[in-house]
Amino acid sequence: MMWNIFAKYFQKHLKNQMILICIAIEIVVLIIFALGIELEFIDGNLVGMSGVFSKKMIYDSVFVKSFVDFVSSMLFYVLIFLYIVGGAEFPVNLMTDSLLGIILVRGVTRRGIYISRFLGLILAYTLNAFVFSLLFSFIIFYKSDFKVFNLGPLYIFISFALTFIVIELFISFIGVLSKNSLVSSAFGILAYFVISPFLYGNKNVSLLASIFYYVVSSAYAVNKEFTNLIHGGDFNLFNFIVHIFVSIVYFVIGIEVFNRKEM
Amino acid sequence: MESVIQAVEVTKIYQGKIKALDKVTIEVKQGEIFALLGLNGAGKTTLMKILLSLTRPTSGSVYIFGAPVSEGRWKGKIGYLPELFRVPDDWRVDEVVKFLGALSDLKGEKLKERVKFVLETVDLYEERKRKVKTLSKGMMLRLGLAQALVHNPEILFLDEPTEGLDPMGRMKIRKLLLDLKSKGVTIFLNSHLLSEVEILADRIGILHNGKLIISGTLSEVMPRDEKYKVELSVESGKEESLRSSLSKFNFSQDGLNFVVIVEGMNALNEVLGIARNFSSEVKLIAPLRNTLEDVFISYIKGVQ
Repeated sequence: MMWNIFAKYFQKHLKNQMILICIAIEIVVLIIFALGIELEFIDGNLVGMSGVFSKKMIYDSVFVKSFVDFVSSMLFYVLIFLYIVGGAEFPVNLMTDSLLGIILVRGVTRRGIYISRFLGLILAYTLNAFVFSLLFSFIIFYKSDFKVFNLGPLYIFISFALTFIVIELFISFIGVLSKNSLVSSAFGILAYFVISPFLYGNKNVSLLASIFYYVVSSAYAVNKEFTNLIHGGDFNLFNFIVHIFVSIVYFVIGIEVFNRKEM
Repeated sequence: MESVIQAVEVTKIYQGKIKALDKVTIEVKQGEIFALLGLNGAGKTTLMKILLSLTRPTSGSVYIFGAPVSEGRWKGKIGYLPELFRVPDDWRVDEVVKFLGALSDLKGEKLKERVKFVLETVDLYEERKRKVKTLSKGMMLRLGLAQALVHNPEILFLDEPTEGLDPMGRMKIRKLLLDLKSKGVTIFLNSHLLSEVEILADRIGILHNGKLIISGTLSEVMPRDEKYKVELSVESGKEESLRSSLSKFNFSQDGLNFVVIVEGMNALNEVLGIARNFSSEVKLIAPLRNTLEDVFISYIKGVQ
């Protein structure tokens, strides 16, 4: 039964306006990347890139790397923003759904409905990101005459998916409490884009800042730790686990609040 | 008959102060149609939600199929049509029924058969590929009934099932409900349409300000007061004498025509005897009874 709910709401989210906007942006990016940019490889390493209408080639691997990082993080922020807005509807839609009573009398539990609809949402959005990064990898593969399969886009996808899941655990909790998708998306955006970067920089300054850091900044922290991991920086496993744990606690509290809600 | 729904002294208080239900006790037996009547805000929907375990009572107990509702033994045996039945606009008619049928553990061919059967039953099979947003109110209601019936439930809970339907639509739903009753399905319905309830229900309950003010069969709730209406006509010249003979009764006269209202069989026989004596033509003898609406209003006024 949970599978049916999961599948139905997965399909429903795939048609969500925000996903369609993301797909439109992704298509534009992929077309520009496929047709507008030439890549140069030496011994399997990406060392240069140029626009097809520009004669000037950039033969500087450091520049290329930082340019790619900049573009991908801009894209990352735009997409995560749209994902937060799209995903914030989940708990509110769930609680106002007139089908809820009809589904409950069929013997499906509230926890089952919550979890399966949450998973449907997560899969729809992460599948979108996965296909996008896979196409990115494939274009690089194609442009290297099928010699280089760059895993960079897939690493970015994992980082993206993890960030989105963690932030969605947080905003679904806010949504259950506030019963308002505008409040939950605003809270999610504020937490991820404004409060978390500030707390991340000040987490060791005071006990209060560090408590807030662990309570509010999970998605940002998970993203940072994973980025460090894939770039070979300092990966703090404890920090990573604590933030994942905090997010799961949010999720469980959200489920229990929903479970006790009366119709 | 076995009792399948029982609410014992159910009280519901919202936010610690708003008493939606006050010690309501009802019992519905297997295979009967029970209608709960009441003004808006009387507590009908709250009671239905408590019976369905969608809302918890503040106090009191609910039993479905003889077991406490919290045990969940009723799961899969209940169909429910809420007052506001809405589904996502872009879903198709058959998609709605299929999805909700699958949630009732129907699979494969069995699911397909049941979807086809219920859509045919509610006259929506030809419209099965239509998007929900294109359906009329009546069609939407029939779709709601189809989803409630897809898993062949033993008890059907319907919240205002004929509200907003045209007479033809109401007749179709009425026929369907009577057909289900004949198959042994127990039906619990909330309704404002008293004329419908009068035709459909075996037993009714009237809820007012959260209190069940009366419950019973229609004949118990609407006692026959044995009033009769007799229409007579008399030959010219006899009307004065007839009028004086009828003086002890409640009557009206229009020329040679008389309308007499009598109470009880003896009075009726007496009037008919008078009519024979005057060689009057008896045009009509009709029992007078209150409609459910009259009864409902008198109970509500009695409480107020």
